[in-house]
Amino acid sequence: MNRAELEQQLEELHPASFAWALGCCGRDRGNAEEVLQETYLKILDGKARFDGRSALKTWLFAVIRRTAAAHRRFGWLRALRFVAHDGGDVADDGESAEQRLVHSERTAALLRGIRSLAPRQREVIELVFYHDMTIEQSAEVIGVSLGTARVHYQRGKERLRAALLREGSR
Amino acid sequence: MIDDEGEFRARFEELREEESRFAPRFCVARPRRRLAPRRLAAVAAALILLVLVVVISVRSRRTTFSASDRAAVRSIAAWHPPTEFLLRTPGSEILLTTPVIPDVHSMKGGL
Repeated sequence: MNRAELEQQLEELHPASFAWALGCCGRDRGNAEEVLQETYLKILDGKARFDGRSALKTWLFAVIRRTAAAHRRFGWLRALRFVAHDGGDVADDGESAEQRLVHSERTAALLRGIRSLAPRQREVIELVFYHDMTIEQSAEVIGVSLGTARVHYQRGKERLRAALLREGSR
Repeated sequence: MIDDEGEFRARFEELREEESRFAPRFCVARPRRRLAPRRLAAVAAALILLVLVVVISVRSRRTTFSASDRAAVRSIAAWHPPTEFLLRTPGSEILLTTPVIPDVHSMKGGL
C-alpha cells in the first residue's frame, strides 16, 4: 500500500478513528485531535507499519490506543507547557480545540456509566457497541486474549447496566 | 429498563451521532513545536536561582579559621601538663622505640 492509498484509507476511517481517540482520551476533544495527528504521522512516516495480519481498522485502532497511552504518560510534561503548539497547519473547522462536546441528557448518562467501568471493560464495550466490532476484534485492538476480552465484555455489560439503572432511578 | 444489548446499541448509536457532528475534517499536519520563550526564560531563571541558593548554602556551611583560631590551636597542641614528669619512669624509652629483630643468619650461635 503506497502513501496515497494509505492516506485515502485513513481518511475513510477518520470519523471512526476520531470517535475511538475520543474514547481513549476520556472524551477530551483537544487531546483526541492531538493523538489522532500523532497516529497519522506515525503511520505515514512508517514508524507504525500495517502488515495485513488483521483488518486495517483493527490495526489502526490499536495504534491509536497505544498513542493515547503514550500521550497520557507524558501529560505531565505538557502540563508544564514547555512546548507551545503552533496550530497554523492544523485544520480549522471554526471551533477551538478546547471546545467541549455537548451531549444530551441521555447520552451524558451513558457516558457517566461508561466512566464507571474499569479501563479494559470500557474499551471492549465501546469497541463492540460504539464501533460495531466483534469481541475477537476488540481483543486484537486492546492486545488481550479472546477469553479475557469476553470476561471484560460480560462484566462491563453488567456494570454498565447497573450504572444506567442507577441513573434512571435518580 | 436496560435489559438487552439492543438498548445498549441504541444508546451508543445516539452517542455516535452526537459525536460525529464534532469530528474535525481529515488533515495530516506536522505540528510545529516551538519552545515558549517566556516559559523557557522563567524555567532558566528558576534553575539559575536554585544553583545560586545551593552554592551559597554550601559555602556558608564551610568552616573557615581565622589567624587567632590557628594560634589557639597551636598553643593547645604545644601545652604540656605540669605533672608530665611523673609519666617519665625508668625504662620508659623501651616503650617508645620498636626493638629490631636481629637477622637469624647474622647470629653466630643460632637461636
